[in-house]
Amino acid sequence: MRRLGGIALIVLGVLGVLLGAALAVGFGPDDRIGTGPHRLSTPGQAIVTAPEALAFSGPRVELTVTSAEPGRPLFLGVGHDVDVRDFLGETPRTRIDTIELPWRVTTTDLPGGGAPKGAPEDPRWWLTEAQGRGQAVLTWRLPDSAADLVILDPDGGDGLTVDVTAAVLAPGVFVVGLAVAVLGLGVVIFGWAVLTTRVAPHGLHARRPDPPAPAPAREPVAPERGE
Amino acid sequence: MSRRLLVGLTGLVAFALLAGACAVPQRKDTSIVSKPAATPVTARTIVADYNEVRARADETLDGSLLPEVEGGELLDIDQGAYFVSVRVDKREGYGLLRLAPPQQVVSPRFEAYPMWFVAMARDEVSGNKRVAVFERADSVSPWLMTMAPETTPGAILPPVVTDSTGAAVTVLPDDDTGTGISPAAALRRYTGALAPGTDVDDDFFASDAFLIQTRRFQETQGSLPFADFQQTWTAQRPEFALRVEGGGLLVFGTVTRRDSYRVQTNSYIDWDDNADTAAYLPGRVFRSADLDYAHQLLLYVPPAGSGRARLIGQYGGVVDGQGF
Repeated sequence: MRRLGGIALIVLGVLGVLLGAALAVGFGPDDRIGTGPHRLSTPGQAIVTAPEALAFSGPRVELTVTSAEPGRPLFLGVGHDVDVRDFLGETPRTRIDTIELPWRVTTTDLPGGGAPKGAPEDPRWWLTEAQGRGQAVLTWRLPDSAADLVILDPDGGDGLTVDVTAAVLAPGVFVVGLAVAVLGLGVVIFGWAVLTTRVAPHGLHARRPDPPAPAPAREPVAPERGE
Repeated sequence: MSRRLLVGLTGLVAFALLAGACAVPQRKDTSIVSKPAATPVTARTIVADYNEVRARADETLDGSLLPEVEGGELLDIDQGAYFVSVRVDKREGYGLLRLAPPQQVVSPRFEAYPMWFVAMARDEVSGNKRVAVFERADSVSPWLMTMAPETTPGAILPPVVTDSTGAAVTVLPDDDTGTGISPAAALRRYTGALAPGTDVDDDFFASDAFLIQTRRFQETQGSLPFADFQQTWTAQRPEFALRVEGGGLLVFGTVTRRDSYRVQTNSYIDWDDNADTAAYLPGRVFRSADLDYAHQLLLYVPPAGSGRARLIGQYGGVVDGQGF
């Protein structure tokens, strides 16, 4: 039983060391793990993700988009698919159908003869949005609902080429990773100690001695006078 | 001692593993590409936006501001109310509306625009409640209030059936499942009960103040000695209907009405003591007059064979008039 417990502790500790080290090394001191820059381009007016491309929810993500043309205005927005589809209408665009990490995307060019229904910064339904000249940075938490990411030039015009860098942000994960690794190491050491320490057989000296019998009551003795 | 340490260490590592697992992305169901028209929070904002514009419009009785926040027949009714108020110089009591934050928000889910939702809120001016329908035509259009039947202060909507996501279940205009009568047919039937003549004894709907008032008005106008009076009612197709628990329906519908007067020779009509008509028909009418009204109704239709349908709310007014 003791041997089994020791082995379990060592396994658990090794898992902790591996997990903690992986977190600390993967995210690094800036608490982020990323990929990019990766080039994306469209002959149309916008680059848009399909709901299936953002198939996960939960983590906080930072997206840095840099235009291939320096100084070109960029708009980044994340909105519900229903809103984004309606807003873009027949706008010619490139749809990102799937994203596989570290980075592999499949895209579909959607031709069209229209334009977005208005200035992209006007609607209030964007979950998050950002603008910039030459570069824009967007940070948001991946939502539970079917959301699309939109990259476009708010001034319009066909053809857009950008470089995209994506990162998952996890504040404090580096410290947590280190702590888990150290803790795991401690568990390994303790497990090793449990496994290797010899314990005397039960009853040999672990048994408590019987309590001494109470002394018989005695009458008080009068002090004797000096001899 | 060693056992306690073992348990403690195991707990710590398990906690760390769990904490790490929480940061792992969760795969979501991307097959649900629909959204509720509004949440209670967004509905509150939309009502606040409505109040802001409405307050400016009420202040100046400027109907040109109303298209920012109203649409459909409701816009016609409220612009008509402003028109009447200005024309007859009775600024108090006409058209003013200030909604409290919604007490109840009922929102279906939509895969595309247009979308709509229902908000029940107390009118702080009259104390009554309004069951307002807000519509949005597309992603860049404003939310417009397009229906707002008025109910009593104590009115409560029957519980609306919701789907697994909490969204209200809608009913198509011609769907008669469960009730044996579709929303469109129910509205036509109520319109039939309003119209003078054949269906006046139809007891499908329970009697209500609007029916009684309408019939009384028809009697008084029909007995005018110097003019022939006719009233016609037309039901529009009801686009908003909700399924309620137990299988019944809530139907929002608009009906229009035309009051026609044909004045007999050597007679005239003077509406000087009737504000609505006096606004549209100032002075005397010697030959004929037509007044157009719009009324927005909220009907409850019970499941087939379980009681009578009834009117829950109504709001209407004159929207046009001509005479000579």
